[in-house]
Amino acid sequence: MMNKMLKVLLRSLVLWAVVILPVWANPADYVYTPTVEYGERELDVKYGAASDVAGNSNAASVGLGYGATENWFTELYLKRENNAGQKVNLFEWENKFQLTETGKYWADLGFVSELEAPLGGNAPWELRVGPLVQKALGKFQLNGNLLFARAFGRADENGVPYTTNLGYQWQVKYRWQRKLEFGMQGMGELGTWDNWAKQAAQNHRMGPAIFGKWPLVSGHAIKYNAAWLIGMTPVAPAHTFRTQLEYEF
Amino acid sequence: MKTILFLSLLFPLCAIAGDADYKIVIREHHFYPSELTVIAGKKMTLLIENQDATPEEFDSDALNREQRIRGHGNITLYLEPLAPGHYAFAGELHEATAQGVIVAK
Repeated sequence: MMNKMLKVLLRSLVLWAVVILPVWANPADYVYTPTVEYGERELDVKYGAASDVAGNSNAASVGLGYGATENWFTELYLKRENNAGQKVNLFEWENKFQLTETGKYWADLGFVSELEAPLGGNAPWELRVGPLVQKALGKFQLNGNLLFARAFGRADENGVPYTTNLGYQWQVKYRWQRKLEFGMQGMGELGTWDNWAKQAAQNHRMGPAIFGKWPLVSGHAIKYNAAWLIGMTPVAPAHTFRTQLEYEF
Repeated sequence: MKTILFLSLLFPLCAIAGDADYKIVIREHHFYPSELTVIAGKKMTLLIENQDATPEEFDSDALNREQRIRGHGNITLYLEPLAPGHYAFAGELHEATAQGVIVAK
């Protein structure tokens, strides 16, 4: 009975991703955490939609991840992004490294690298890397990440040279119950890493978020998180809804 | 680029397992001891040794820890000071038998 339910759930998850992918596209950014679970296997689906004066954009992705060692988690994604009518399909390879034992030092440290490649079209490749920091304070979990991103490959059609840009993520989560935790998260892009844009040209957004994990049969679980981010600067989307669903098996 | 190179030097960082304050053994999908008494209010290390050939997943919402242990492997948990009370944990891969509790006094 439980196996049958699991199969139905898994088929629904994949079907949801397959339906979403052709209609929308673009995986919504999510806040990385520095912990790796060795042996974890997961099917990951993300969706995000944003609205601003330039138009609507959305993204979806489906990925398969694996905790290869106690310190290294690797994941492959197929993504589709739709930015105000401009659509692009992408392949992404994400690697996350846990650099310190959880709780051993004042904060937990990790590192993420993300390589994105276009599947056809004129979009450039993109590499994104950065440190991940996590701190537990009682029932609160705090996260802060810096991300350096750079496009490369096919030249920009306007002739603008690619630069290394700096972004950030932060999150505050209260671990109320495993099935339902809540908090706040924020993300932003500051511009070139060594020459930030003026504040009005920076992209900052933040808002409430929920999280949770629903255990299934032994070793299997559904994890989710979702957030509603509000634009805090003129160039940021007024509203962004992002969600992530993971099936661990 | 310099930042990336510097950060890459930090990988891999392996924790050197020194003497842990407490130890729990997994054997035949049971925890020994299944009830561990610890000193409340003191930071501590807990060594979990898996004597079974198959992996186990130490899972505790109360301790905010979820970590897989290889067959014939071990992990060390670094725990913040615990307030007096009971902190349940389980082996997620063998929940029927792998159950335990840490009692902080």
